[in-house]
Amino acid sequence: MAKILLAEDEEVLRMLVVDTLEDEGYEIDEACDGQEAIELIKENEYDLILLDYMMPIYTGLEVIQQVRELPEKKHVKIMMLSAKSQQADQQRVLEAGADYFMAKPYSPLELVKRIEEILHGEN
Amino acid sequence: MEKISRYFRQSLTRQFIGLMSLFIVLFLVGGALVLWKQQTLVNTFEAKREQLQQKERYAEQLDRAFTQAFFDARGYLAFGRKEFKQSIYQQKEQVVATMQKLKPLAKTAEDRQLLEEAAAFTSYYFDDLVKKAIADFEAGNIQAVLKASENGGTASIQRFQKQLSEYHSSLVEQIENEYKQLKMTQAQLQYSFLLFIFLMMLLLMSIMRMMAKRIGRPLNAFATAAEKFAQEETDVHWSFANERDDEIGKLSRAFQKMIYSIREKEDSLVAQNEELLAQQDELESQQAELEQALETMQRREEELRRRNEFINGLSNSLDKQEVLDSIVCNICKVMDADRGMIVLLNDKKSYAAFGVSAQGVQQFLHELDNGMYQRLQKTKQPFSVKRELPTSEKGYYEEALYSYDLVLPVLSAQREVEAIMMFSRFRGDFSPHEIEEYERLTKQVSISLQKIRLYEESEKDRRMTQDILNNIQEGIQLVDMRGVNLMMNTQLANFLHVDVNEISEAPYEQWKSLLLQKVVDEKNLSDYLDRVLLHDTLETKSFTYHVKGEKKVIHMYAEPLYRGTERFGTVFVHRDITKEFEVDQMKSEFVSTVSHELRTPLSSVLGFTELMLNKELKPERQRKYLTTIYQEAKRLTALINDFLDVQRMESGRQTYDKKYEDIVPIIQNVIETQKVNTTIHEFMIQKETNRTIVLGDRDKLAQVFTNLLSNAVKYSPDGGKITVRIYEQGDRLAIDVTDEGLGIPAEAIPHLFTKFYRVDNSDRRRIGGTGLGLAIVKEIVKAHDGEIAVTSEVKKGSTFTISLPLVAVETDPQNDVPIDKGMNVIIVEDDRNLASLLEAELSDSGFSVKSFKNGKEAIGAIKAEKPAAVVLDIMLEEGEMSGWDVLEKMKADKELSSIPIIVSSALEEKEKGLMLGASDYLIKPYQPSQLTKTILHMLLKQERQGEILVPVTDEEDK
Repeated sequence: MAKILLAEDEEVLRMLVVDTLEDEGYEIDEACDGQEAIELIKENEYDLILLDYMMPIYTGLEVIQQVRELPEKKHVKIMMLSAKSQQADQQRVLEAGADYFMAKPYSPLELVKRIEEILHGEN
Repeated sequence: MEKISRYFRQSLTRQFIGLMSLFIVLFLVGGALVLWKQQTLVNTFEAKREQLQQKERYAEQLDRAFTQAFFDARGYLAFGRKEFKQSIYQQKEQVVATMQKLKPLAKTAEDRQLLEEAAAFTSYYFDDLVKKAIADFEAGNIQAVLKASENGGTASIQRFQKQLSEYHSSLVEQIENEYKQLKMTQAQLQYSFLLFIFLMMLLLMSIMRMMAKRIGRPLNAFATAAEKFAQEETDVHWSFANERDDEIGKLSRAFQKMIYSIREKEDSLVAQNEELLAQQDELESQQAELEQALETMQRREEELRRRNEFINGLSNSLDKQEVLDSIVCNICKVMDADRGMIVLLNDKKSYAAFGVSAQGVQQFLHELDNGMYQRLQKTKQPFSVKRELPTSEKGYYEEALYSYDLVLPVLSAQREVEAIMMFSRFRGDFSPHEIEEYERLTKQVSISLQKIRLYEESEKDRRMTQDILNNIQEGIQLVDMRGVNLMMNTQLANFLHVDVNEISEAPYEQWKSLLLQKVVDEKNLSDYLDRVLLHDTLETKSFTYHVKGEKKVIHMYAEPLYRGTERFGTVFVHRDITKEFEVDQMKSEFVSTVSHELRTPLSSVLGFTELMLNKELKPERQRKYLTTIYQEAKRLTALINDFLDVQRMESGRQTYDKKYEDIVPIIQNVIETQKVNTTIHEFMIQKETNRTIVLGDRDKLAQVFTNLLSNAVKYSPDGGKITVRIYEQGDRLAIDVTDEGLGIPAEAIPHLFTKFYRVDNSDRRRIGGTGLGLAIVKEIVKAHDGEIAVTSEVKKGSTFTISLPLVAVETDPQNDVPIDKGMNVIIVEDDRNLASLLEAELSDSGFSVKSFKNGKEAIGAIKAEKPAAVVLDIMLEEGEMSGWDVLEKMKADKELSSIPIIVSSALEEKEKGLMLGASDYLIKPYQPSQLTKTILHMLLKQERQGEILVPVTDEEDK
């Protein structure tokens, strides 16, 4: 089964996503801030990384930039989850190296659907 | 002969030389003749004498020869010696020889007689006598000899000898005669020589005289004539030597010619002269005319010069006083006046005077008001007055001295008298012509005054405009169509670090480069300026730039400038929008943060709800989700409430219902509610003072402590003591809230009270919160004139300290201020609630207090009671006396004026109050304790001044 990293500083939201995805049978790692996320990404191979935008220490954007600088992580799939839903924000995130974008507040079921599409579309 | 005579006639020199030569020749010839004569005489004398001497010598020789022969004959005859006889014959020969020699010399008869006799004797003697004697002797006939001797021999000898001697002496005599003759002739010669010299002298003198005559006389005549001529005598006789051929003649003729020519010339000169004289007369008359014209011109010129000076004086300056001074001074000069002054009528009677004292000016102003002004207003005509000078003005003059005063009204364009000029002259009266002229000058003055007025007005306007431009916040720049700087206000100049004057008229490129240096995005600004100025496209009218090295943001915009319909330039306005920019940025950040903060709980609520709706969930999960939904919804509510609170407080719309509250029960209440949420924390109250009353809003203060205590709980997740310490800090009440939790990193402390700020720390991140709590605390504390401070040490805990102004309502009697219980205070206040509050406050402080709603009643009571102090509201009941009236009335009343009044008003007119005599002024709202303090302070001050005494109360009684 696919392995997913969730970086999100809000505990309740982590719970929401983790519960939903675990129900679907994904293996989930959790990070509470940007630094933790980068460390986990370096150590593990994830099929998909879900990043919150507003996080302590490093923002989601900074995490993307740092990850994309690592040669072996150039192509890891990253989805940005952000309350900044404006077109410009979305654009900036994608330019920074995110592959996907989902605006907060998101529906957990829709998130599952997107993830399935992303992972299965590849398979 | 003719030639020679002409030769001499032609020259005096020749004549003179000729005559002198003749004289010398005559003299030399005469002298030579005399010498020659002399010589001839001497020679003749010498020759004669020689002849005579020769004859004499021959005679002597004869004599000697005879004598010898006698002797010899005698000797022979006596001695018979032959040698004698021989000698006799020798002598005879000698005699014959001598006689031979004498013969040619014998010229005279005497000579010849002698010679004949000598010859006769010789022959007798020698041939006869001697021969016979010798023969006799030889014959020895001595007798015969003797006889012959006796018969005449001897006698003839003797006779001959005598003849000889006579001859000899005749010869000597002849020589002497000759010598005498010579002497005489010589003397005659000498006399004739002297005579000759004398004659020569006479000749010389006659020559000289003649020459002198020939030169001197005509010269004399010439001199006389010349003199006469010089003396311009007409009957001069000129022809005194014309006939002569010599120099004098020539001179005379030349002179005559000259005289004639001079006469001729003189005549022509005289004729010319006459002509000239005629011309001269004409010229003189012309000159007189010209002189007159010149004089007129000079007068005009002088007049013009003075007038020019006057006008220059007027136009040189735009300073009113300077111009007035110049007017008076110059008109005095033009008029030759001794004193003068000008007074403007339409403003503050500005004046300028020349030779008039300030007192004199005042006197004149007074005189103006006493009719002169009215007269001038009516006639609008100048007038002059003659008056005798009083002694004070006369100086050292003894006799009567008059002053001619000329009063000139200066009329404005509306023919109103706007100024009056007065000039005094001691020299003489003002002629009508002069007055007319000076009246014309007043028009100049009027124009000049008008000019000054206009200038002053425009200067005022200009200054105002300049002041406005220099005092507004915006930088303003005016440029012309080519972009040349026309004006730049000080703000912009300071910003560009240039001098306003330096930059004036700077070309576009210059000021542009200065501006670009200051700007971060110079390229865009340069493009913008080019667009506006060079391409004249005003669609992009504004531009925003960031200042290099500063946090400043400037918004600049351009507006075209029109004069009428013609555009003549552009105005640039640079507005510092740093604050707006920051606010804007903050706002957008805030919005973004708020949206984030709101979306997070919303996401949870929506997400979990969706899961619950779409999934079959176990009951535990359902419960967990529902709890989460509930908590998140609560969080959302709290967030929205906090957010609204902050907004309200920041915008100043939050109202506080402030009352005197004891802080302690409020804190206790909060602790009680917080206690419910935690089991691991221990709460403590440390009360170190009894003065715990503050003026505040109970609910808001409760909110402050709720936020602080809940933070303390939240950020000490491992529990621990939470201490609330209440104590006095100076005149403030301080409350510490201390926890033993995570602590706050030092770098975070300054941001702590910023909205949505949350310390970036994963430990803390798990702790929920809105990020608004401390911002709200800060706002509330601020609204209570309080302060908040934080000290913290990471992992040890934090202390939040709030200090609030302490209200001086004493709860501890130990701290009471000693006050005379009999000391009464009257409060004049129409607000009943406030009145009773103040009453309570003052009563508590030991005063006896009465309060009144309106001024009239109050004044009655004040008069009756003479209180120690009056507390006076200004805005009393409508229709009644206002506080100001009460104040004025009291201060006007001698009995009441010393009672101190404390104005208590919402009006911020402290200065007015103090000016009217109030002792102090309290602006509402103030703390009632402030009033007590003020009254006590005032009474104490009065006591020090010795006005009233505050009786000491016996505190021990209490």
